[in-house]
Amino acid sequence: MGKQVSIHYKLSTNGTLLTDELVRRLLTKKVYMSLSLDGGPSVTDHQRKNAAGKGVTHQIVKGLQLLLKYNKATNVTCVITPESADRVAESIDYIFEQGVRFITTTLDYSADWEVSHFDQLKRSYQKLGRWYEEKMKAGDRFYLSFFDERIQTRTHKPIAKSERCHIGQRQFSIAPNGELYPCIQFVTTEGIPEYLIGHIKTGFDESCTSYITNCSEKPKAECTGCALESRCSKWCSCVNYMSTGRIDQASPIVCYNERILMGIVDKTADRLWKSRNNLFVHKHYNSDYPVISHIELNL
Amino acid sequence: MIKHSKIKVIPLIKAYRPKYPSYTDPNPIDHPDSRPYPFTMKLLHTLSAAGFLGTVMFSCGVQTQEYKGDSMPSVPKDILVNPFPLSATNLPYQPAMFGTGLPSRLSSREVSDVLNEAFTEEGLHIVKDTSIRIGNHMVPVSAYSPDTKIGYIWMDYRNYGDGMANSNNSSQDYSSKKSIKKNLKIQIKRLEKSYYENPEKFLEWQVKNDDYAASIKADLDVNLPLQKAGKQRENFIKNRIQEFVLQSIINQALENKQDNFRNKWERSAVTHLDDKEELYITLTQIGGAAHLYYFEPSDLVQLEKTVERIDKEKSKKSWVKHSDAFIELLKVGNPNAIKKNPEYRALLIDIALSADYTKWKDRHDEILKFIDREQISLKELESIADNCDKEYHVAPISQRDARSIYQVDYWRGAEEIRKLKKQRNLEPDALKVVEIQEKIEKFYEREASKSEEREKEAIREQSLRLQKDMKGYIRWAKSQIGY
Repeated sequence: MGKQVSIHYKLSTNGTLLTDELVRRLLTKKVYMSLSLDGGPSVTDHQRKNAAGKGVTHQIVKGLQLLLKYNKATNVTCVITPESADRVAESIDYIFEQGVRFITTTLDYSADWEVSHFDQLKRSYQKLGRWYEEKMKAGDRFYLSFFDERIQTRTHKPIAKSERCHIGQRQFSIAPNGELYPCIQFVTTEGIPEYLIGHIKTGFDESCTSYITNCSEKPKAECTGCALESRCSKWCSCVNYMSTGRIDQASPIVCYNERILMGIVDKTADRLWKSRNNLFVHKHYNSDYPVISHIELNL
Repeated sequence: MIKHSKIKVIPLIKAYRPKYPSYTDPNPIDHPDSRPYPFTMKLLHTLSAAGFLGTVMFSCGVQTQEYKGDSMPSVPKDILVNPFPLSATNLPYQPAMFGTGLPSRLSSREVSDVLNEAFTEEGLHIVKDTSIRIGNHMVPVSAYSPDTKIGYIWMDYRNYGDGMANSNNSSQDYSSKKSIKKNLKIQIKRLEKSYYENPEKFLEWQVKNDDYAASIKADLDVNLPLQKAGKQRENFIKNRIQEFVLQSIINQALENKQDNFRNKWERSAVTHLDDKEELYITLTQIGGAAHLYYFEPSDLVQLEKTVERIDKEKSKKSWVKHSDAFIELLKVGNPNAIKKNPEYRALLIDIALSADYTKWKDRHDEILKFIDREQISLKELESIADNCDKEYHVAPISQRDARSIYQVDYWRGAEEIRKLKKQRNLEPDALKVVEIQEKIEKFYEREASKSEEREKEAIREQSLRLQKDMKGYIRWAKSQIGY
């Protein structure tokens, strides 16, 4: 199979066990590493504890510095939970201050979100909007998925079906026991037969993968008439699965989040556009930006 | 494993409409005013040291489009920019007399269909010739899409309102009695000066141009030598010139035998006012207010009835009051351009025919409201163009815009005609002369028929150019409202 298809390896880690030698070895094997850090100690220590129940922020940051030493474009994934919803801007700023310039933000879709949490999120996003604006005005090159992805759904175009992850088709996850799942979110110790799409020894079960694809691509009836339908990320099956237990049903968490976030992102972008922020214009309309900014980052 | 959320998917019916360009709009990077990529100093230093700064800069996707200028700028197709900024209207404009080499300009009749097509092609449904409210004013718009609030207003002499034309006299009101009196004095002083500079030439010129001047000349010829040099002589000259100026206008009114409301009114003034200066002022005011060519014959008949009523006033005082009220009515809002509008004329006549002239003033507001609806003032134009919050997008297109000028191809047959004429003049055979002459005439006929086609073609070409800019405006406006 290795000769027929091109495979890119990605490793998500909290970085606590990374050593200089391990990082170098993984890089020679072309394994792309992404680190999970939810914010400063007050947030991360609360959300990520070691076996002894102690916070691991210090260790994560140590691992992060190792990764940044070899790759200045290292991506950090920041998970927002209902408990940290009121400190999103602070968390992002903490990660940025560590030297990270690629920040992927995501919500904990398995958590029990309530309307009041989204009120807190809204205030946090407004703060984050101002933070984004300030950084852009200061000429900082960075990628913040919550903002940049949404701006791109307007400046580039909504993510086309062909560009999505295609769970079970173009992307799959391998469980420690060799079972194949459509996405990392389905790999659990319990095993979910419904989403088991094969095994490394026997290969893929085609009927299963096409069933999953059909389910995930089905239009979401509950989203009919929504003004954000073409721009929101309701298509992400694993997120839908995590929050609803079904891959063909839109996640209410995604829905609430998009409804709050999209307007704040658009207003932030409007302010930058109105002032004709040169970096904003190039970041979102110059097709050469990713290459140039990458060169600049790695100098 | 999965917690049942208390929240539900709810479709968002109305979302915030962003204004930054979408992927369907022209890329702002392609705009001529776009700035180059903001390279970090670190990168610039590195690249300069490496010596290939230029190479990378040219590959960064920033292309500055060079404007290949001509006298009529047109916005390049794929650029996100407002093609109709206020500056392009060239308003306020400096009025010039016709026939002084002014260029031909498109009229609303010629462009409206072509411009309206732009809206249809861009998928917008429009309402034609409507008006929109801007603050406390109603502003006339040529076409408007109520859904997107995008439209345009074509401005020409018919709807140019207050402040649109620059006038050297704008600071003075020549319809007021005071200013007419002031100007009379200036005019007399000027004539006096002219007389002293060259009395013979002055009198000769005046006599040539006015029969009445002949009597003044005779008076001066006979009586001036009898005056004592100095103040007496100066006063004599001044009085004669004043008399000449005042009497000229009175004579003009009396000599005009036409039977329209203006002449009837002037003759009525001559019979009711005995003071020559007062009469001069009133006649000047009447001349300024009563422009006959704005009215239809049926209107003139109606307006005559008003003049007849004024003429029937018994006392001089009441005549002056009634006449002044009529002057004011005809000049409300200085609506000369609008007088061709039948609705305006109907309203004006309705007021003028109402018996009690003391109440005419109460209805001036009706006229002003009508004018506000039909005309656009410079202030309104500025507020349309300066609509920062983009509540609506109405392109102000003025006939003074350089893009409304069309140039008909010059006639290129001069050389051929010259040859034919030369040939004809040298031809000894009379029959052949006739033959050549026929050729010349046919040539002229052919060219005459072609010139009409050429003009139509030039109008069409220029209208399509405006249409292209109109489409650019619609796309720009859409991007502003996030449509």
